Amino acid sequence: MSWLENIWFSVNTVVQAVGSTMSDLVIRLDSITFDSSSPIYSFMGTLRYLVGDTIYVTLVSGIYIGIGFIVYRLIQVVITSITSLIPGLKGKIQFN
Amino acid sequence: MPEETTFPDISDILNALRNLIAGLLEAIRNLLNNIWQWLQSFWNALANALSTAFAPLIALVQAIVDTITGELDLTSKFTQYNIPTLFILILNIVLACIRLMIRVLIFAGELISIPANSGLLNSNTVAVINYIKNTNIPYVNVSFYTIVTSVVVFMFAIRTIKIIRRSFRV
Repeated sequence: MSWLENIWFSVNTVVQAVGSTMSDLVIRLDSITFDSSSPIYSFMGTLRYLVGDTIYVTLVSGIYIGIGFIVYRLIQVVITSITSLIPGLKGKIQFN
Repeated sequence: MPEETTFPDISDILNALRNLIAGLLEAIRNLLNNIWQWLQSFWNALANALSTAFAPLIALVQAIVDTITGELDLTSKFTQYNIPTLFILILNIVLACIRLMIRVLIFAGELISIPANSGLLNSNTVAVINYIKNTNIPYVNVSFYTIVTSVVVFMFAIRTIKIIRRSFRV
């Protein structure tokens, strides 16, 4: 009885630890906000003050272009994954 | 003179026969009692031997029964999550990541509208930066800050043109 009980308790302990960690991770991810009082707002405002409007707008434009490329690549990966999961769609949707 | 034959009394014969039967019955009863006691001791010994031999198996079956019926002393903390809940938590993590990405995109959209802020800088630093921004170079009538800004934008434009030409082979 003792060894089976030990296995059960070990598995249950691992499951409880993993569940607790994952639940905390969800809470931490949801707690990340970008309001005007966050430090990153102050940092970007300071950067704008230092480099001026022209360079700041140029930097932000570069950031937008980079985000656009990342989103494009992400959509490409998602669609490729979905089409690889469905055999009927394989080869019919292509990203060039 | 012939010897006179004497027959025993019939009552003596009956008594002897009764005693004989009683003794025989007593012997049979004693024998049955002995057999019964032997059987009892045999079954007790067999039961003890079997219980000793199958004690681990009985304990295992009891453990399985306890596990299935959930009679273990588990606290509420120890039964907070189970394996199907972990899959729901994975889905929650994916949804939390998607929510975080949406918040990042909203923040990126607001980047262009963030006002200039000198709150994090020292007052002396702010004074120096204002001096560089507002002081014009003689004869050129342009501030050093404007010149640096223009050079950076020019270099950025050249770099962008190079990247576009390399990417599209124009």
